[in-house]
Amino acid sequence: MDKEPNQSPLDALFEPLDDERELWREDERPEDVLAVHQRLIDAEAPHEVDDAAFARMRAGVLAEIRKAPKVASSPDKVIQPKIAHWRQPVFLLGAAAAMLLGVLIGSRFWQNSPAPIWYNPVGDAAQHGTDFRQGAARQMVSSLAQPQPDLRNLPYVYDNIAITPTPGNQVHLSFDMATHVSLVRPADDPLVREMLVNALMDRESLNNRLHAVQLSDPTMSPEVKQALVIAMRQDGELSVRLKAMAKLAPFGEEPLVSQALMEVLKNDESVQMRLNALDYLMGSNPAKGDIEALERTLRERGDTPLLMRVNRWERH
Amino acid sequence: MEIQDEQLVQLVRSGSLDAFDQLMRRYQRTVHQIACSVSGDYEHGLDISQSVFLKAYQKLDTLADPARFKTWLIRMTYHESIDWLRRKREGEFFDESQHVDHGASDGESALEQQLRQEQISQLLGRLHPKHRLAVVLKYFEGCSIRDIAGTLECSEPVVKNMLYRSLKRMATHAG
Repeated sequence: MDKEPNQSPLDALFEPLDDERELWREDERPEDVLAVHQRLIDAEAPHEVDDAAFARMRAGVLAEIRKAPKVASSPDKVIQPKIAHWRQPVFLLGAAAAMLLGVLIGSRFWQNSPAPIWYNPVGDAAQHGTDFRQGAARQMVSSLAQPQPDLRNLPYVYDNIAITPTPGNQVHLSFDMATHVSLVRPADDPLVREMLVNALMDRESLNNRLHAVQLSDPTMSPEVKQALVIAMRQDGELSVRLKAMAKLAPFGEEPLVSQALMEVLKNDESVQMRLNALDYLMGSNPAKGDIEALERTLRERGDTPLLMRVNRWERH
Repeated sequence: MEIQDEQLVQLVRSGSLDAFDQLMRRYQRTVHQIACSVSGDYEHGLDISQSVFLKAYQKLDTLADPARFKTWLIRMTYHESIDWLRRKREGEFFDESQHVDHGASDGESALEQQLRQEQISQLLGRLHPKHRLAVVLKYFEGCSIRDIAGTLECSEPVVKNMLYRSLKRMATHAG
């Protein structure tokens, strides 16, 4: 890419940068960026709503304000809360310092005092006689002085633990056990399929879901196909829904998939999703009755642009 | 002659709800646009806007310079949208019944327009929320680099850099 040294190709768009840092690598294509810039200039704001909706929103705000009116104040009062806020941390700092001082004095006093017998875990039993302190409690206290295993590093995580004594000096244990496993398996391994289904349902991680859709194939197993259908219908992220739909598209003739595509046509708020669903449905050579059902659905929804697209498909 | 923001803020502080309604009318589209773009959630853009205006009214006393109401409001919108995004990720709420109807009007051109807007929303969704805000302010609100820098509390070169990088990222994903 030819470019003058120290000059960004986008200098024409904004004023040049003060510090001439390198913005472009050799493999980057500034013309694509210029295209996006132009697209944004030409685009209307993507989230326009009508005046009636704004009026409802304003009415809602005013109603809330009237419900809990705030006493209006003059601008001079701005200073007032600032002083109050300033005082609060000073008070807290003072309290914290007093507590720290108390702990320091207390610890010095403790070090200088003879340790009480019951708290001396390594004390010589013979020195103190064989009294009640040599029982299980003393052993427990002694054991506390020994280095303890770090419970956070146990290989398993336990949950839902229930412990019930049973006859014959037995204990009935019931619990869930989890551990972290990291391994590499072939893509067609049953474990991979199981994990893909789980990852597709993972609401926490979008990245996981995107990877899972990318690796999933409806032919892998009925469970994977079902998981893809659920992702297409219910995932909150448009990119996941679109990718899941693309994976399912070749199976548009199957009742499970065609019904799910109809659901998308009825309910998905994304026009891109509805459009793709329509194209996939019409591309799978539907019966005349199915097309009529499709048109009925679109008419119920008032989806005129998509109805026109169905007509265009029919003409073809 | 249009009443300045500063005067309207003073009127609201003296108890005028009409003045606050005027401020809302003036900035409702800006707030809504930023709320949708930053949170990536256009279904609940109006809910976020409502929450922003309510907070703005409640915190109006803390606005030191009434002439900078717009900047203050945009910043509040940004923070509220980020909070919304966080709560959404935590799965705190989601009421599917509160859809805003963006239904296409008629004809294929409306459909194509919707598609273009959706694609832009998707590309914006690839950006860091702060970068999204910079792009929205630049391209949809027509703010100058200086205004954006004032809103984001950073220097002008940083804003330019942010915009360059945002466009580059969007270009990568536009394919």
